[in-house]
Amino acid sequence: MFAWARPHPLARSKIAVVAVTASVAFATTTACSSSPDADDGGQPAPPTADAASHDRAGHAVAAEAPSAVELRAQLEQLLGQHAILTVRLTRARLRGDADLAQSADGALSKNTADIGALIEAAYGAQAAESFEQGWFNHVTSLFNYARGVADDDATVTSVARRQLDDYVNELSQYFDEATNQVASAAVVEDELRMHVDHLLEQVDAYAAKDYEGAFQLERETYAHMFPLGKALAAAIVTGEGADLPAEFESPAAELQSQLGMTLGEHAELAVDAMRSGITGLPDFPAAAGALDQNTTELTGMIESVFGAESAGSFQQLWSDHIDAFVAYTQALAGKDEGAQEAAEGRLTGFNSDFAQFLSTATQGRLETAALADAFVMHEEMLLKQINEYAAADYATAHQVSYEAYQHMFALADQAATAIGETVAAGSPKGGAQTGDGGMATAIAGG
Amino acid sequence: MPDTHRLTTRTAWGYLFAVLLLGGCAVGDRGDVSARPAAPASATPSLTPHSNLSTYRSTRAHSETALPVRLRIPAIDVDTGLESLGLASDQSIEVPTEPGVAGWWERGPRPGQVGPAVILGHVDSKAGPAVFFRLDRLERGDEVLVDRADGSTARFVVTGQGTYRKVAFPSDLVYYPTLDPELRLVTCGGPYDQAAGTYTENLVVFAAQAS
Repeated sequence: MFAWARPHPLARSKIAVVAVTASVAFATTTACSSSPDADDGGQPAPPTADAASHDRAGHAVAAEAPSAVELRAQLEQLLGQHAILTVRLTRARLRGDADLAQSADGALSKNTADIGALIEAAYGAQAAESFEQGWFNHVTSLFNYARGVADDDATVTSVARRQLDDYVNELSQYFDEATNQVASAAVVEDELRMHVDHLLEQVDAYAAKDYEGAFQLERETYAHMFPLGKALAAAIVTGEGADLPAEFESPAAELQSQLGMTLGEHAELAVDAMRSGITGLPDFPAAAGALDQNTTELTGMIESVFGAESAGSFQQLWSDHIDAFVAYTQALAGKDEGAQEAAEGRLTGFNSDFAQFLSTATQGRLETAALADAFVMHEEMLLKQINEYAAADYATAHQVSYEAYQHMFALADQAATAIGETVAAGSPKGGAQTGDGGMATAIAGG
Repeated sequence: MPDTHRLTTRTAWGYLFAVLLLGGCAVGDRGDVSARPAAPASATPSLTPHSNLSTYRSTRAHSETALPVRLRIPAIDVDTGLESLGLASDQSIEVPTEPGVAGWWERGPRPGQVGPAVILGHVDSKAGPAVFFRLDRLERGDEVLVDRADGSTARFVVTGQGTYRKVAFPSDLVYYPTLDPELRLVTCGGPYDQAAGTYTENLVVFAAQAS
């Protein structure tokens, strides 16, 4: 029996209604999940009732519930990663690359388990298992949409689209009723539809060889997951009857979130570009273009904080390091070990120079040596993932890129703190003396 | 504090339960959407690099945002030039020299850049109303326009406003860096302390770049 371990005290009965329905829905899945038009044999079995109590060993179960701030950060990070991995899964299916799709699916399973661990910390194991089942199935629907598009099978695509569309409509209405309009059906529907539409549209765009459009949609769906993660974290915390702490959405927390999102996207788009580049995929220019957009956004942030001159220095360094990764990829494809070593040498130079740049810009708040170590780790992970990718060890490639993405958030946290403190140190102190009192009576009276 | 959240708590709950149910069989037979990727049949990919790989160069193009020169707020009939403001000797922010002219904090972001651009204006002078006298009348969604030296205009919409005691001025809300282009409009508010010759509060209007 599905049960919320610690439901919202004011909505206990409503949540229970939803939860029971979810449980029933999953149970029903077992009775209607045969696959008359499934892909070739060998695919994992669809979820079953038994699967809902499967061994969760290996899941990143939180030892204790994270703080509100930690929960926000982790949900944002994981939901953003979910979007990227789903995009990779569907594109692999569009290209008919079963190996890659399988390993992307494995990474998605880990991502789902990691999200499930957060749900478990909040609501218990049964709720987490139900969550993971539901999450798994919605990815399945998206995957099968891509399958239908790839196979030009209008039946499969229309069924997948209709079911996702119906889910959005009916669940929005259902939740509206279940909560006595506490959760507006219109708002829920809008957010759900946006998430699904982004992912479906990027499949369509990619299949139509509109790679630029597909990457633009990838960026949008990734960005959309961050406010969603924040709102979900807020709901979990307040649903427990607690108030949100002030630091939950403090300017510092917002900067950490935004910088993490942007640096995480950098890592993922670099992975996309390197993988597309080394296998000659036609989407390489679009992937590189998306990476350029990310670089431009980071440069704009540096300019606004440290000025135009620093922005110019930053962009030169940053672009050099991206070029070195691309040069390494080119050398790897050509099995040119000398060129690979040369590219690695360029990256080593970047690690030192960029660490010095950031340390200076933040007036020593970031230590050069620690930064250099962090950049070395970034370099090693991106190079390892492309080495493994080139060797067709996709599972390891995905595992490493998974970690490379998460590593950027740790770096972002430290950088955001230092940047914020640097700006604060140079900001005006106190309020502004912008009145001489001539209209004091009118102003005080409102 | 401005309410700039795109999603609400309500939305999040809805989403959580929705994804729980997305996996369910709420609508008809879902037996035709159950296939996941097949087990891999090992194969080494073709390492034929893209023809653009060898010539790719990451972007070095970044155009500097032009300086702000004029502020327009149609809802309260503000149309003013802009002074540049730095730090006063006591480390507070300088204020515009003319009551009818606003000023831009020149050490912060330029309007339209990512980050919070800050513009100050007096609420009054000893003689009467000043440029930001009616700033408190701005409402969510009102348009704020900042013209720049290159002829371009940064467009913002008001997202909220707050009144804060000067002795507890929320510097982080006003100056702390963000990765979105934002705008803060600041003036005086609250009771006037005759002895100190100053208003005791500041009014801050928050705006975000229009999409």
